[in-house]
Amino acid sequence: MKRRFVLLTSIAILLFFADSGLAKVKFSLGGFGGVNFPIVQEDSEIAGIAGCKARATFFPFLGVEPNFTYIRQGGITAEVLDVDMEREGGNLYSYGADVVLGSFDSVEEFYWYFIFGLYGNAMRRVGREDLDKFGLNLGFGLEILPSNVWGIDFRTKTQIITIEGGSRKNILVTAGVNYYFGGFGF
Amino acid sequence: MKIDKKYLLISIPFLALLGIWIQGCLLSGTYVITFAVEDEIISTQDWWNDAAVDLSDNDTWRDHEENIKYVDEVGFTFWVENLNTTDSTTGQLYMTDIDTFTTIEQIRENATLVVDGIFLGPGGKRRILWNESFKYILNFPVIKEQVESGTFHLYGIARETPFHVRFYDIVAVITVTAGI
Repeated sequence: MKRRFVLLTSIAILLFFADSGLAKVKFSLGGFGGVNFPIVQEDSEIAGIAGCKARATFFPFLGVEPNFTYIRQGGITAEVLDVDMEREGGNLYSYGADVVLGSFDSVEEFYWYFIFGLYGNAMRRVGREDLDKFGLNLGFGLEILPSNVWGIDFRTKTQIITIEGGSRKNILVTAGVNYYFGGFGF
Repeated sequence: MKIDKKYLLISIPFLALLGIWIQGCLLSGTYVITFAVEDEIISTQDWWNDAAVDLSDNDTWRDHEENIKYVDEVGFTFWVENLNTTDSTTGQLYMTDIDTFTTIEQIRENATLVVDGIFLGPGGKRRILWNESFKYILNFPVIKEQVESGTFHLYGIARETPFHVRFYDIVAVITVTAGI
Protein backbone atom coordinates (compact mmCIF):
# COMPACT_ATOMS: atom_id res chain seq x y z
CA MET A 1 0.00 0.00 0.00
CA LYS A 2 2.74 2.44 1.07
CA ARG A 3 4.87 1.34 -1.90
CA ARG A 4 1.97 2.21 -4.23
CA PHE A 5 1.45 5.53 -2.48
CA VAL A 6 5.09 6.54 -2.94
CA LEU A 7 5.06 5.42 -6.57
CA LEU A 8 1.80 7.20 -7.40
CA THR A 9 2.92 10.37 -5.63
CA SER A 10 6.17 10.35 -7.61
CA ILE A 11 4.30 9.86 -10.89
CA ALA A 12 1.79 12.60 -10.00
CA ILE A 13 4.61 15.05 -9.29
CA LEU A 14 6.33 14.16 -12.54
CA LEU A 15 3.10 14.51 -14.57
CA PHE A 16 2.21 17.81 -12.89
CA PHE A 17 5.50 19.42 -13.79
CA ALA A 18 5.83 17.73 -17.18
CA ASP A 19 2.36 19.00 -18.11
CA SER A 20 3.09 22.55 -16.99
CA GLY A 21 5.11 23.22 -20.12
CA LEU A 22 7.01 25.94 -18.31
CA ALA A 23 10.45 24.60 -19.00
CA LYS A 24 12.34 22.23 -21.16
CA VAL A 25 13.11 19.17 -19.13
CA LYS A 26 16.72 18.29 -18.54
CA PHE A 27 17.43 14.66 -17.64
CA SER A 28 20.26 12.84 -16.00
CA LEU A 29 21.09 9.25 -15.17
CA GLY A 30 23.53 8.32 -12.47
CA GLY A 31 24.93 5.84 -10.03
CA PHE A 32 26.39 6.29 -6.59
CA GLY A 33 28.05 4.52 -3.69
CA GLY A 34 28.91 5.44 -0.16
CA VAL A 35 28.62 4.74 3.53
CA ASN A 36 25.69 4.34 5.90
CA PHE A 37 26.16 5.70 9.42
CA PRO A 38 23.37 4.37 11.69
CA ILE A 39 22.21 6.81 14.39
CA VAL A 40 21.37 5.46 17.88
CA GLN A 41 21.11 1.89 16.60
CA GLU A 42 22.97 -0.51 18.84
CA ASP A 43 22.13 -3.38 16.49
CA SER A 44 23.76 -1.92 13.37
CA GLU A 45 27.23 -0.82 12.40
CA ILE A 46 28.59 1.37 9.63
CA ALA A 47 28.31 -0.30 6.22
CA GLY A 48 28.09 0.37 2.49
CA ILE A 49 25.48 1.82 0.15
CA ALA A 50 24.95 1.57 -3.60
CA GLY A 51 22.23 2.91 -5.82
CA CYS A 52 21.03 4.47 -9.03
CA LYS A 53 19.01 7.56 -9.81
CA ALA A 54 17.44 9.52 -12.63
CA ARG A 55 16.74 13.22 -12.45
CA ALA A 56 14.28 15.30 -14.42
CA THR A 57 15.00 19.01 -13.99
CA PHE A 58 11.76 20.81 -14.82
CA PHE A 59 12.71 24.32 -13.76
CA PRO A 60 16.04 26.08 -13.30
CA PHE A 61 15.55 25.68 -9.54
CA LEU A 62 13.75 22.34 -9.24
CA GLY A 63 14.22 18.72 -10.23
CA VAL A 64 12.63 15.42 -9.30
CA GLU A 65 14.86 12.44 -8.77
CA PRO A 66 13.40 8.92 -8.57
CA ASN A 67 16.01 6.56 -7.16
CA PHE A 68 16.74 3.20 -5.66
CA THR A 69 19.26 2.66 -2.87
CA TYR A 70 20.59 -0.58 -1.42
CA ILE A 71 21.71 0.09 2.12
CA ARG A 72 23.68 -2.43 4.12
CA GLN A 73 23.23 -2.48 7.88
CA GLY A 74 26.47 -3.71 9.35
CA GLY A 75 26.59 -6.63 11.79
CA ILE A 76 27.60 -6.16 15.41
CA THR A 77 29.54 -7.96 18.10
CA ALA A 78 28.23 -8.06 21.65
CA GLU A 79 29.81 -9.50 24.77
CA VAL A 80 27.47 -12.07 26.26
CA LEU A 81 28.64 -13.99 29.34
CA ASP A 82 32.23 -12.88 28.61
CA VAL A 83 32.09 -14.26 25.07
CA ASP A 84 32.12 -12.02 22.00
CA MET A 85 29.13 -13.01 19.93
CA GLU A 86 28.47 -11.77 16.43
CA ARG A 87 25.12 -10.87 14.96
CA GLU A 88 24.94 -10.54 11.21
CA GLY A 89 23.62 -7.34 9.74
CA GLY A 90 20.70 -6.74 7.44
CA ASN A 91 19.69 -5.16 4.17
CA LEU A 92 17.54 -2.15 3.51
CA TYR A 93 16.05 -1.50 0.08
CA SER A 94 14.93 2.08 -0.28
CA TYR A 95 12.90 3.29 -3.27
CA GLY A 96 11.29 6.65 -3.80
CA ALA A 97 11.80 10.10 -5.20
CA ASP A 98 13.61 13.21 -4.04
CA VAL A 99 12.82 16.79 -4.86
CA VAL A 100 16.04 18.67 -5.59
CA LEU A 101 16.19 22.44 -5.08
CA GLY A 102 19.14 24.44 -6.37
CA SER A 103 20.22 27.11 -8.82
CA PHE A 104 20.76 24.89 -11.82
CA ASP A 105 20.66 27.73 -14.36
CA SER A 106 23.58 29.77 -13.03
CA VAL A 107 26.04 26.96 -12.73
CA GLU A 108 29.66 27.25 -13.81
CA GLU A 109 31.80 24.56 -12.23
CA PHE A 110 29.76 23.41 -9.28
CA TYR A 111 26.55 24.08 -7.38
CA TRP A 112 25.03 23.26 -4.01
CA TYR A 113 21.57 21.83 -3.67
CA PHE A 114 19.00 20.92 -1.05
CA ILE A 115 17.17 17.61 -1.29
CA PHE A 116 14.17 15.96 0.35
CA GLY A 117 12.11 12.91 -0.52
CA LEU A 118 9.54 10.31 0.38
CA TYR A 119 10.48 6.66 0.42
CA GLY A 120 9.28 3.14 0.80
CA ASN A 121 11.78 1.03 2.72
CA ALA A 122 11.97 -2.76 2.75
CA MET A 123 13.98 -3.93 5.77
CA ARG A 124 15.27 -7.49 5.73
CA ARG A 125 17.32 -9.28 8.38
CA VAL A 126 17.57 -12.97 9.21
CA GLY A 127 15.59 -13.70 12.38
CA ARG A 128 13.33 -10.67 12.09
CA GLU A 129 9.92 -9.90 10.71
CA ASP A 130 10.13 -8.36 7.24
CA LEU A 131 9.27 -4.69 7.59
CA ASP A 132 8.03 -2.42 4.80
CA LYS A 133 7.94 1.10 6.18
CA PHE A 134 7.46 4.64 5.02
CA GLY A 135 10.36 7.05 5.35
CA LEU A 136 11.58 10.58 4.79
CA ASN A 137 14.97 11.78 3.56
CA LEU A 138 16.47 15.23 4.01
CA GLY A 139 19.86 16.40 2.94
CA PHE A 140 22.13 18.50 0.79
CA GLY A 141 24.76 17.98 -1.85
CA LEU A 142 27.43 19.44 -4.04
CA GLU A 143 27.79 18.62 -7.71
CA ILE A 144 30.97 19.36 -9.63
CA LEU A 145 30.61 19.70 -13.39
CA PRO A 146 33.83 19.03 -15.28
CA SER A 147 31.87 19.11 -18.57
CA ASN A 148 28.36 20.01 -19.69
CA VAL A 149 27.24 16.37 -19.74
CA TRP A 150 29.04 14.82 -16.78
CA GLY A 151 28.67 15.63 -13.11
CA ILE A 152 30.40 14.31 -9.98
CA ASP A 153 27.96 14.37 -7.15
CA PHE A 154 28.63 14.38 -3.36
CA ARG A 155 25.71 14.31 -0.99
CA THR A 156 24.62 13.55 2.53
CA LYS A 157 21.10 12.63 3.51
CA THR A 158 19.44 11.90 6.81
CA GLN A 159 17.09 8.99 6.42
CA ILE A 160 14.21 8.62 8.89
CA ILE A 161 12.18 5.40 8.69
CA THR A 162 9.06 5.28 10.83
CA ILE A 163 8.53 2.13 12.91
CA GLU A 164 5.54 1.75 15.22
CA GLY A 165 5.82 5.18 16.82
CA GLY A 166 9.61 5.10 16.79
CA SER A 167 12.07 5.34 13.96
CA ARG A 168 15.36 4.22 12.52
CA LYS A 169 17.69 6.92 11.39
CA ASN A 170 20.71 6.72 9.15
CA ILE A 171 23.08 9.27 7.71
CA LEU A 172 23.89 8.34 4.13
CA VAL A 173 27.06 9.83 2.68
CA THR A 174 27.52 9.13 -1.03
CA ALA A 175 29.51 10.05 -4.11
CA GLY A 176 28.28 9.43 -7.62
CA VAL A 177 28.44 10.24 -11.29
CA ASN A 178 25.62 11.74 -13.39
CA TYR A 179 25.23 11.92 -17.14
CA TYR A 180 23.07 14.81 -18.42
CA PHE A 181 21.07 15.12 -21.60
CA GLY A 182 18.24 17.25 -23.00
CA GLY A 183 16.75 20.51 -21.75
CA PHE A 184 18.55 23.72 -20.85
CA GLY A 185 22.29 23.79 -20.39
CA PHE A 186 24.31 24.54 -17.33
CA MET B 1 -2.48 36.96 -0.71
CA LYS B 2 -0.40 34.94 -3.14
CA ILE B 3 2.34 32.73 -1.81
CA ASP B 4 5.34 31.99 -4.00
CA LYS B 5 5.38 28.30 -4.94
CA LYS B 6 9.08 28.17 -4.16
CA TYR B 7 8.40 28.95 -0.48
CA LEU B 8 5.63 26.36 -0.38
CA LEU B 9 7.96 23.72 -1.76
CA ILE B 10 10.73 24.62 0.63
CA SER B 11 8.34 24.46 3.59
CA ILE B 12 7.18 20.89 2.80
CA PRO B 13 10.17 19.07 4.34
CA PHE B 14 10.07 21.20 7.45
CA LEU B 15 6.36 20.56 7.95
CA ALA B 16 6.89 16.84 7.40
CA LEU B 17 9.80 16.82 9.82
CA LEU B 18 7.71 18.63 12.38
CA GLY B 19 4.95 16.03 12.01
CA ILE B 20 7.35 13.19 12.62
CA TRP B 21 8.90 15.03 15.53
CA ILE B 22 5.49 15.41 17.12
CA GLN B 23 4.94 11.66 16.89
CA GLY B 24 8.10 11.17 18.87
CA CYS B 25 9.78 9.37 16.01
CA LEU B 26 12.97 11.34 16.16
CA LEU B 27 13.34 10.73 19.85
CA SER B 28 13.88 7.01 19.65
CA GLY B 29 16.74 4.58 19.32
CA THR B 30 17.40 0.87 18.95
CA TYR B 31 18.87 -0.92 21.96
CA VAL B 32 20.26 -4.40 22.52
CA ILE B 33 19.41 -5.81 25.95
CA THR B 34 21.02 -8.99 27.27
CA PHE B 35 19.10 -10.84 29.95
CA ALA B 36 20.84 -13.71 31.71
CA VAL B 37 18.37 -16.33 32.94
CA GLU B 38 19.50 -17.43 36.39
CA ASP B 39 17.88 -20.86 36.43
CA GLU B 40 19.18 -23.84 34.54
CA ILE B 41 16.66 -26.34 33.23
CA ILE B 42 16.99 -30.10 33.66
CA SER B 43 14.19 -32.24 32.28
CA THR B 44 13.07 -35.77 31.61
CA GLN B 45 9.66 -36.94 30.42
CA ASP B 46 8.68 -37.50 34.08
CA TRP B 47 10.08 -34.48 35.90
CA TRP B 48 11.32 -31.03 34.97
CA ASN B 49 11.77 -27.50 36.12
CA ASP B 50 11.13 -24.25 34.29
CA ALA B 51 13.19 -21.05 34.16
CA ALA B 52 11.15 -18.08 35.30
CA VAL B 53 12.03 -14.82 33.55
CA ASP B 54 11.14 -11.39 34.88
CA LEU B 55 12.70 -8.79 32.60
CA SER B 56 12.21 -6.05 35.18
CA ASP B 57 15.20 -7.61 37.01
CA ASN B 58 17.38 -6.18 34.23
CA ASP B 59 18.56 -2.56 34.66
CA THR B 60 18.63 -1.79 30.93
CA TRP B 61 15.15 -3.21 30.43
CA ARG B 62 13.86 -1.14 33.35
CA ASP B 63 15.46 2.00 31.87
CA HIS B 64 13.57 1.56 28.58
CA GLU B 65 10.48 -0.42 29.64
CA GLU B 66 8.06 2.51 29.68
CA ASN B 67 9.19 3.78 26.27
CA ILE B 68 9.41 0.59 24.22
CA LYS B 69 7.73 1.13 20.86
CA TYR B 70 8.64 -2.10 19.14
CA VAL B 71 10.41 -5.41 19.86
CA ASP B 72 12.67 -5.86 16.84
CA GLU B 73 14.04 -9.30 17.60
CA VAL B 74 14.64 -11.84 20.34
CA GLY B 75 17.59 -14.19 20.14
CA PHE B 76 19.08 -16.64 22.62
CA THR B 77 22.38 -18.12 23.55
CA PHE B 78 22.66 -21.20 25.76
CA TRP B 79 24.32 -24.53 26.36
CA VAL B 80 22.27 -27.66 25.80
CA GLU B 81 23.40 -31.09 26.92
CA ASN B 82 22.00 -34.55 26.26
CA LEU B 83 22.30 -36.34 29.59
CA ASN B 84 21.12 -39.56 27.98
CA THR B 85 24.28 -41.46 27.04
CA THR B 86 22.61 -44.10 24.88
CA ASP B 87 20.19 -42.19 22.58
CA SER B 88 20.35 -39.07 20.44
CA THR B 89 17.90 -36.27 21.12
CA THR B 90 16.59 -33.00 19.69
CA GLY B 91 16.48 -30.08 22.14
CA GLN B 92 13.46 -27.78 22.30
CA LEU B 93 12.54 -24.67 24.26
CA TYR B 94 8.93 -23.78 24.98
CA MET B 95 7.69 -20.39 26.21
CA THR B 96 4.52 -19.62 28.16
CA ASP B 97 3.17 -17.56 31.02
CA ILE B 98 1.88 -20.71 32.74
CA ASP B 99 3.96 -22.55 35.35
CA THR B 100 1.50 -25.18 36.56
CA PHE B 101 1.95 -27.96 34.02
CA THR B 102 1.79 -31.46 35.42
CA THR B 103 2.67 -33.48 32.31
CA ILE B 104 5.04 -33.06 29.36
CA GLU B 105 2.02 -33.37 27.04
CA GLN B 106 0.50 -30.29 28.65
CA ILE B 107 3.67 -28.33 27.91
CA ARG B 108 3.66 -29.50 24.29
CA GLU B 109 -0.01 -28.66 23.85
CA ASN B 110 -0.29 -25.38 25.74
CA ALA B 111 3.08 -23.67 25.64
CA THR B 112 4.59 -22.23 22.44
CA LEU B 113 7.53 -23.97 20.81
CA VAL B 114 10.11 -21.22 20.34
CA VAL B 115 13.34 -23.18 19.72
CA ASP B 116 13.46 -26.50 17.91
CA GLY B 117 15.84 -28.70 15.96
CA ILE B 118 18.99 -28.78 18.09
CA PHE B 119 20.31 -32.27 17.45
CA LEU B 120 22.54 -33.86 20.06
CA GLY B 121 24.22 -37.26 19.95
CA PRO B 122 24.29 -39.54 23.03
CA GLY B 123 25.93 -37.58 25.87
CA GLY B 124 26.60 -34.66 23.51
CA LYS B 125 26.45 -30.96 24.29
CA ARG B 126 26.43 -27.78 22.21
CA ARG B 127 26.63 -24.09 22.76
CA ILE B 128 24.13 -22.19 20.64
CA LEU B 129 25.42 -18.70 19.90
CA TRP B 130 23.29 -15.60 19.45
CA ASN B 131 23.41 -15.41 15.66
CA GLU B 132 23.07 -19.18 15.27
CA SER B 133 19.95 -19.23 17.46
CA PHE B 134 17.90 -17.62 14.68
CA LYS B 135 18.18 -20.86 12.71
CA TYR B 136 16.22 -22.61 15.45
CA ILE B 137 13.78 -19.92 16.59
CA LEU B 138 10.09 -20.32 15.76
CA ASN B 139 6.89 -18.39 16.42
CA PHE B 140 8.44 -14.94 16.75
CA PRO B 141 5.06 -13.14 17.18
CA VAL B 142 4.42 -15.15 20.37
CA ILE B 143 7.97 -14.55 21.64
CA LYS B 144 7.47 -10.84 21.01
CA GLU B 145 4.17 -10.84 22.90
CA GLN B 146 5.69 -12.65 25.88
CA VAL B 147 8.68 -10.33 25.95
CA GLU B 148 6.40 -7.28 25.81
CA SER B 149 4.54 -8.66 28.84
CA GLY B 150 7.87 -8.67 30.72
CA THR B 151 7.46 -12.09 32.36
CA PHE B 152 7.40 -15.64 31.03
CA HIS B 153 8.56 -19.19 31.72
CA LEU B 154 10.92 -21.29 29.63
CA TYR B 155 10.68 -25.08 29.47
CA GLY B 156 13.52 -27.10 27.98
CA ILE B 157 12.57 -30.54 26.75
CA ALA B 158 13.23 -32.78 23.72
CA ARG B 159 11.33 -33.92 20.67
CA GLU B 160 11.91 -37.63 21.34
CA THR B 161 10.80 -39.68 24.33
CA PRO B 162 12.44 -40.77 26.58
CA PHE B 163 14.80 -37.85 27.07
CA HIS B 164 17.07 -36.33 29.66
CA VAL B 165 18.35 -32.85 28.78
CA ARG B 166 19.94 -29.86 30.45
CA PHE B 167 19.84 -26.21 29.32
CA TYR B 168 22.14 -23.75 31.09
CA ASP B 169 23.82 -20.35 30.73
CA ILE B 170 20.65 -19.19 28.97
CA VAL B 171 20.74 -15.57 27.83
CA ALA B 172 17.97 -13.78 25.95
CA VAL B 173 19.28 -11.04 23.66
CA ILE B 174 16.44 -8.62 23.02
CA THR B 175 16.55 -5.77 20.50
CA VAL B 176 13.97 -3.02 20.97
CA THR B 177 13.12 0.33 19.48
CA ALA B 178 12.41 2.68 22.37
CA GLY B 179 12.00 6.35 23.14
CA ILE B 180 15.14 8.12 24.28
